[in-house]
Amino acid sequence: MHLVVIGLNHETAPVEIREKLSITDQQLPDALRGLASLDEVLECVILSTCNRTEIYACTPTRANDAVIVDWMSKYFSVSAEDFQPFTYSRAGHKAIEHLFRVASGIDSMVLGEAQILGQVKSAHAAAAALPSAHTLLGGLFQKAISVGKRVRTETEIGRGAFSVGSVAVRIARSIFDDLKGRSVLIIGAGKMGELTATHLTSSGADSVLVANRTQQKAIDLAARFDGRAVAFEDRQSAMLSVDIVITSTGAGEPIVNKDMVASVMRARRGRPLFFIDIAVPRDVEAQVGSLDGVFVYNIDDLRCAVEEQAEGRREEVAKVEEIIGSEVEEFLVKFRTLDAIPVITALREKFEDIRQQELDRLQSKLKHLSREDLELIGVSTRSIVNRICHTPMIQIKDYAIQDDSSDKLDMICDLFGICRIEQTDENQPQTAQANDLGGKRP
Amino acid sequence: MLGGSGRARRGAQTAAVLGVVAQGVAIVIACVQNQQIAINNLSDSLMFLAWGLVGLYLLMERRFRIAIVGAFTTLLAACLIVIASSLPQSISAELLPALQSHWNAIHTITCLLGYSAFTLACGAAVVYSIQERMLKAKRINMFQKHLPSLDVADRLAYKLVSIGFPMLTIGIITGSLWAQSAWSSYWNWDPKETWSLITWLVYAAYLHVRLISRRRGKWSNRLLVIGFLCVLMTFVGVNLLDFGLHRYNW
Repeated sequence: MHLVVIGLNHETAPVEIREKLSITDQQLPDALRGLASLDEVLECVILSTCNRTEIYACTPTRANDAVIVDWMSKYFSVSAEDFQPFTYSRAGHKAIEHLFRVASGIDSMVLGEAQILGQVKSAHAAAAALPSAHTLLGGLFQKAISVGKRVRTETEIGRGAFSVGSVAVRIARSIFDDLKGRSVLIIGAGKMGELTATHLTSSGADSVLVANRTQQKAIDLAARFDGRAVAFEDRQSAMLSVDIVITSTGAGEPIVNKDMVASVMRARRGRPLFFIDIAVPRDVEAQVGSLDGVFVYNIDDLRCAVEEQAEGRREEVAKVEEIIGSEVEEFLVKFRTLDAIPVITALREKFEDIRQQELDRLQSKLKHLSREDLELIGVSTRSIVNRICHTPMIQIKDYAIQDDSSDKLDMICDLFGICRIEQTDENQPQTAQANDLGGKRP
Repeated sequence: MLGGSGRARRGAQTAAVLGVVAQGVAIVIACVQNQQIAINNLSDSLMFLAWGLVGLYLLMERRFRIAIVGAFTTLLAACLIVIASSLPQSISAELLPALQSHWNAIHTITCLLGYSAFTLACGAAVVYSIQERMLKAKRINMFQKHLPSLDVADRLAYKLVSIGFPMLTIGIITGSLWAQSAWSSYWNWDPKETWSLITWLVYAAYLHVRLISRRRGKWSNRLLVIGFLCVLMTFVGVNLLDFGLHRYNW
């Protein structure tokens, strides 16, 4: 059995290509069904987010990239030459490692972000529902989800602020400590301003004032925060009572200047004031930041701060990779023992057949035996079979993770006159193939 | 204590509490044995100062999340104890006749507690300035995150001065009463007396700025640092530079 992942992400493909090759949640079941209907695909999971589209597949033979690429080309109606240069393909333990990295968030655009873990979960759920993912891919995705959780609890990869809004909250906390009881003035009733204010209010800030050139918009936005609208002209006096000012107007000129804030600060008796200027061009004059007790962060500053947080997380990547390394090894062992399962099943069935035949013969010969006697003999013979099987079963599982697993398993089949192929579907001669999960010894 | 896990922090806290309690017991025993307050030389004073620092810190920690300040406090206290231990331990059971007075105890203890509070307040002011600078320079990183917020640093300093200031006031008053009983004069313009008055004025100015001035923030923090320099001058500087009335016992 071979594992392969073919995909493209924000690093390998431009957004135009990613858009063409994305699959919505609604389209996902159909896509999975189509992919699973291919003879060469035993199991499959599709992970499609705005930053990546990846197809995880289990194939009976090596090098089945072409089959999947063909399917992608047909499904997305894009010729293979157009997108294949932007894709990557990983097989075997590299594919396992890749999925674990994705689930851990270290393959994401924003390092360590948590959303991807949820997306991995829903990709698995969609495939498990059909089902297009069975023992191997099902197990692999479950493991990936637990690895994703583990790295987030054991390392700092998921710490810090990931968005402009959350970094604004973080800075506000460094100034005001608890945001409870703090108030926010929103100047300009835009979407971004509202989003930032939502971050602040959900972190404790409890009163909101809104000033906007169009009064009605201010009233509407204020209503959403249980706040109060003030006239745009009164913004200066509104600054007296608040702690945080969010500006997001479309004005071409700054609407908050140094003189205005200087007089506000005199009246505030040195209580700090925090400006979050997310407007482009800027709403707050640059010199305002030079005033004592005034902190001005514009959209670029906030983006830089988000980046800087990511820098801190970058130091954690090595730790995450260490965890992933050991988890891949562990999963490989489990993966390889999958090869042993058909042999074990065949062997058990063979012994059970023999036992049943002998039991039937015994029953026809010794007619005087009561039901209880026969039951007792049944239990006893089953126990004999189990005890004989016990050691070989463990040994077979052990063989399966060794390099020459295929030869050894063949020998066992010869020895007991069982055939592994028989245990599986005609189309799924899983165990006839030596797996190619690399030469990595567990 | 920096930013460790909850368990490490609790462990450090418990250790600090045990240390403070143990040293408190030791101080009381020493006092009982000598039948007088056992803070007669620089070594004893530094020991008491270390005790006051950690004790006050623990008191403050109940209200503020200031683990990083705790790390500095315990470090400073440890340094003081090391210095104190290396100083000559001349435990003079008998004070000079001029210094024998019951004002002695209250004067020494209140002054030293005041100094502890001012030292911590200066630490809070320094933390405030670092945090403010990092915020102004837009350096949002892990170090900055572990510093107390401006609000906490400001309130912490204010709280400490509002403990330290009355202590110093009582210290100066009892000191002058003691001077009256020793030298029949309340105030001699001895350098230590003068410097303690300057210190007192600086902290009075701080309280004024903190409570009613517009220049809160920048100036209140500057005054805390200036105040601490005055404390250093009063506590050790005067003795190193000059030979005043207070230079009796070390």
